[in-house]
Amino acid sequence: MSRTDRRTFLKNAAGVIPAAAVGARLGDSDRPEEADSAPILDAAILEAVAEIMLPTATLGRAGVEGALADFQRWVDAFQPAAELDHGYLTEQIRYGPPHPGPRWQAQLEALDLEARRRHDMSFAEVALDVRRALIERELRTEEGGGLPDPARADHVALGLLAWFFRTSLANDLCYDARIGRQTCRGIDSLPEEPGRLEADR
Amino acid sequence: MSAVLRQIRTIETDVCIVGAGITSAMVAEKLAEETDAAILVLEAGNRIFNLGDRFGHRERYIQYGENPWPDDHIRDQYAEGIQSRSMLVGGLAMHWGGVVPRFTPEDFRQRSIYGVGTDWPIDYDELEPFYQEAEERMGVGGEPGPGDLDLRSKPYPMRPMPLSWNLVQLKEWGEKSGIPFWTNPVAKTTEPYDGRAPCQRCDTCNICPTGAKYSPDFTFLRLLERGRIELRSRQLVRRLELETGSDRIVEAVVQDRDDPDGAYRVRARTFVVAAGYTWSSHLLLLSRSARYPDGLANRTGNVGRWITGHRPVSGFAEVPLKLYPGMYGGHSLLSKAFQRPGPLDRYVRHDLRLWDSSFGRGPRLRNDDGDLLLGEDLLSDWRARTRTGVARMRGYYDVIPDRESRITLEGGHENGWGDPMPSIRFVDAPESVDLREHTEQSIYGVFDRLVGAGGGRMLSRGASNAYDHPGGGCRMGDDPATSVVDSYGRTHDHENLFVVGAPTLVSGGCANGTLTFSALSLRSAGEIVRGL
Repeated sequence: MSRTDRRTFLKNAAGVIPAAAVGARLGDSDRPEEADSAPILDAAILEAVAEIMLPTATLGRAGVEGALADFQRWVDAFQPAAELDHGYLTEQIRYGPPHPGPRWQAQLEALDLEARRRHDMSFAEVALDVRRALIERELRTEEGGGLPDPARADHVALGLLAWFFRTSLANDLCYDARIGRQTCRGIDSLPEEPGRLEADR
Repeated sequence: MSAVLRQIRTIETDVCIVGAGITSAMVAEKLAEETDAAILVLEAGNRIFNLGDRFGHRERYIQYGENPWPDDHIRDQYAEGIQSRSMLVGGLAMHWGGVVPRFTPEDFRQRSIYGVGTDWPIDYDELEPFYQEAEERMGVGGEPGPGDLDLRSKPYPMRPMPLSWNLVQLKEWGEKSGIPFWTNPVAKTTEPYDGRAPCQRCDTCNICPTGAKYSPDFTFLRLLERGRIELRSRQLVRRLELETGSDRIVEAVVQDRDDPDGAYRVRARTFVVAAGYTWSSHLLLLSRSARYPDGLANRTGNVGRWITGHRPVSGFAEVPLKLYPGMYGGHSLLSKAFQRPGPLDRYVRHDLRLWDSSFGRGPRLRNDDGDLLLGEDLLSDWRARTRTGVARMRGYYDVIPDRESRITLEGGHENGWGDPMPSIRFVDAPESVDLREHTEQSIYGVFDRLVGAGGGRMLSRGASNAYDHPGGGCRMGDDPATSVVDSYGRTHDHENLFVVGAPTLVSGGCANGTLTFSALSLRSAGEIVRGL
């Protein structure tokens, strides 16, 4: 399947992912605006990366698909060199990085190409441990500490990881609670302990 | 009389207000209510009345960190030195946090009570009704603290913002130390108020998408709808000019930023400079003349001096509590126990705030052994590190300003109209320098007391060098030799020129300043009304 055909297919396929499966787990604040054109990133390779980078067992298939769809929207709606929030007590006006999409797409294509050359299979087809080794090699120089600003991540795998783990959904998964960070949700329930996620499952 | 175009390039009005921030809104509203005067508000920045668009801007702020207030500043109009860049209708109060504690009586009587700093020409009791008025105009939700710590004559206009689960736990934790805590008052609606819906806890108060947080655009919109003011945005006031043979101000020289040939003049009976602590002093310094070679209101050389503020001291502690960061991170607990400390051997006063925090608890790429963490491994590591909570503690202590703590015209660059831009240099007075180590160690001691009583361990602590909530530059006083304006903001040198709000502060207090700026402005407005 050509890249264009694959994109068309994946775009159409994305439309059949049940919206409720995504909406049930993602807060309003996790959902960027819709993009009209085909996604910048190859969905099949990205999904293969996600199986290494995201907590797939916790998310389940629908959760992973929802997260990937949101990440694609996030990438597609990115504005290069946007003016960033300047907040209080600084005279500096800062601007964001270049669009990470083209660089990340090239990295996805490189992962796929290397898998084909080494194993005669696409990146999505090679075993998980092979995929993981390929990705870990790309991240070997990354330092510890906190995760980077997703848009400034050197590699698409790290960008996906950093993007996901700063979502409200990831925060809820960490605390196993329906916190709903930055979701407009009223003040009446403020004093209550957030409910466990299990109740939703 | 309404503002009318009397002749080409000259506008005549009764009251000309320079700047359209929160203090301008307070003054304009009060003048509009209590007089028939024509009121013209001039603002150099843009008018961003975009409540309907704020969800979208908020979304991009959350997703990408983009400025949720695009075009909220003027590219070449900035100071050298630390200064916030917002310059638009509504000013910094368009994206403020809405935190509105009052100062305490001690802030106004530092010299008399503690032998440091400078007494204000007014005391707390004099300002108290205006605190109440400001709270009612903004719509403040709060609960009074203990009566001896939190003085007020009337209830808050609205019930307090409820404490989150996290803050309920932290209040119990903190009060084991014997220090009382209560809900921080906020200019956010907890019930329908003045046409605003209750807060929806979106927790992006720098861009409130629902209008629950007070911002000055609401006031200006209402005044515009009633036809009670004229508001001209993108109009840069470059200087004020004296009447021939008099010390009265006769007109403002204004530049329309959209028209290079669009300079004009505004004549008024009364001029009110409400341009914040930097630009108010800056305008007076720019307004030089033969009789006032150092700028208006500056016969004694005090304009731009004594700029003040408070310095934050922060600490983070692991606490033996299950907390859920993200419930409402902008809300906090407050204690004034150390703002009203009673007799002291050595001066130290500060506020005390408590928040839940995720400091040091974010997801990470490598574990302590340096192993890469991906997918479920990363999530497991994150979960293991967040089984206990983190408390953020902060005290603001007042810095006693030196006379050399000042704004000058020596910023080293000019704006597009050729005006020199300001330089800002904060300088502690010698007595404040002497007190600094003692003050910061005392605050650390309070943090240790909290952790010692409530349990946990300190993770981090530190003091900033910066002054938060800065003010001064046109400080008030009874003696023209050491001040620029009287207690009403009327300049000593010009009977029809007022400076209102932050610039008039004598000291920065130990708490967020906006409510005090607003209360002072309302008191000034009362005096302006009496003179019209």
